[in-house]
Amino acid sequence: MVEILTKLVIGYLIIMMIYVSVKAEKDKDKK
Amino acid sequence: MLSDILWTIVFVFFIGMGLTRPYIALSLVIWIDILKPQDLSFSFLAGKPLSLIAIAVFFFSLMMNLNKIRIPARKSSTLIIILFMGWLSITTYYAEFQYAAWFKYDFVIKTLFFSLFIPFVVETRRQIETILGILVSSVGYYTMIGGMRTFLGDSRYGSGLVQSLAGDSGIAETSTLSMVSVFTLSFIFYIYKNSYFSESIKFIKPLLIGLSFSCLLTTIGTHARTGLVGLFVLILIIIYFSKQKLKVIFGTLFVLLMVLPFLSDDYVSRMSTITSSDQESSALGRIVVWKWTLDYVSKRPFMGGGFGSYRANAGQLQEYVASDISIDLKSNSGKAFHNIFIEVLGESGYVGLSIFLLLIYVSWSMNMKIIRGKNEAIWMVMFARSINIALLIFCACGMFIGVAYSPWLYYFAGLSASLYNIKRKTEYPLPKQKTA
Repeated sequence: MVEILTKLVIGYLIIMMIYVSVKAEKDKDKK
Repeated sequence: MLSDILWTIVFVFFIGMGLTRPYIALSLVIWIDILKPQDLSFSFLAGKPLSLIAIAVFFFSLMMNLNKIRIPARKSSTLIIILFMGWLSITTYYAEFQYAAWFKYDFVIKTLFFSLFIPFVVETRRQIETILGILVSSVGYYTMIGGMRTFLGDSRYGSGLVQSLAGDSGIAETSTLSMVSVFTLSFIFYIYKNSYFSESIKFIKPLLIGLSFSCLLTTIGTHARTGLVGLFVLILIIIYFSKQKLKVIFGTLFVLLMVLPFLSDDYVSRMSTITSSDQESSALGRIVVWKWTLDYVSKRPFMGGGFGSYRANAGQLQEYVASDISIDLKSNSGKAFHNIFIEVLGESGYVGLSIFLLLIYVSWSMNMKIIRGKNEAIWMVMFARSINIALLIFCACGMFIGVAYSPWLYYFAGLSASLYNIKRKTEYPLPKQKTA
């Protein structure tokens, strides 16, 4: 249970970091 | 099964985003290199060649996006790493223990090679922060598991904190984990205070606070004295850099009070041996190997003995023991170096050690130029400071463990070079390219 929760948190952090980074890139390109 | 599905989602997401962005593809390589999901899995991902796939994705992304690659303005660390790779290839060719040497060479060269690319694919603040964020998150898995086990009172001296198919090696090895936990704190602090992510990702701040606490608990849970050395260095640096020293001292005391309930008797007795290196067998064993290495290298000062040359001390260490204390000298297999500088010296001679020290110095000085700069952006100064803190902790902890060729130093060097290039780019912006 602890491991699954940890993996969820880490997975969330990684996906969000990439998503935010890519989104910022796209927003910059639009401008 | 469930965790394998989760890792697969992250992996596929990385690939999807990385195919058109080399810095994300490189982050994937770093993620696989640190986290090693294939070693943490007991289902369909177990033992799969994820590293190979990640490398293939990275090179494909690199080929498809050649226009996104920049030649770094400051090439010194890149050239030093290339020089180091060349030198290590020569010393491996002449290594005393050929099989062991080529085995180690295989992953060392891979680590050095991929760290070379960091300055080439990173050219903005967002990109460098993404790589740092992925690095912290990957380490975060180990510290969260370790922290949780320590919190639940499930940590003991001599038992690994995080179970991995690779066993007690890499980041899962307790002393290494304690060092990594400590230097990751400086990166977490940066992301919390200065990064672009801290304002754009929901729940990131409480998660980072939890991650910091788990790093501290992991340092305790490993029962490694290396971690205590790292913490000591970290506290000294924080006090040194802080303008409100008294406030920081009280803050540190408060944090220490919070972790006090998790200090077992086992931990306290283990740490109390740190001041009696002349009476403690583990510390004495290391000193004995260091003395042997100096003698060993005096016979082959230029090239050392190649990777795995510590094996040559099998059965030879007894003559270096100056006390009656029983030491495990590993007389059949040889005792490892247990020190990054001695490790590099023993394996690649004084030439290799000079290149290694030069890499540390160049990375350190690039960051110091940014820290001392008068008109640098705050995020840049804080980023440079966090790398230098990590570098110092790496060197201090590295006095007791043989992690010279683990990826940390080379990632720090790559990040330092990238940061310096971003600074140069800000000072001297590139002319706009003409479009057809």
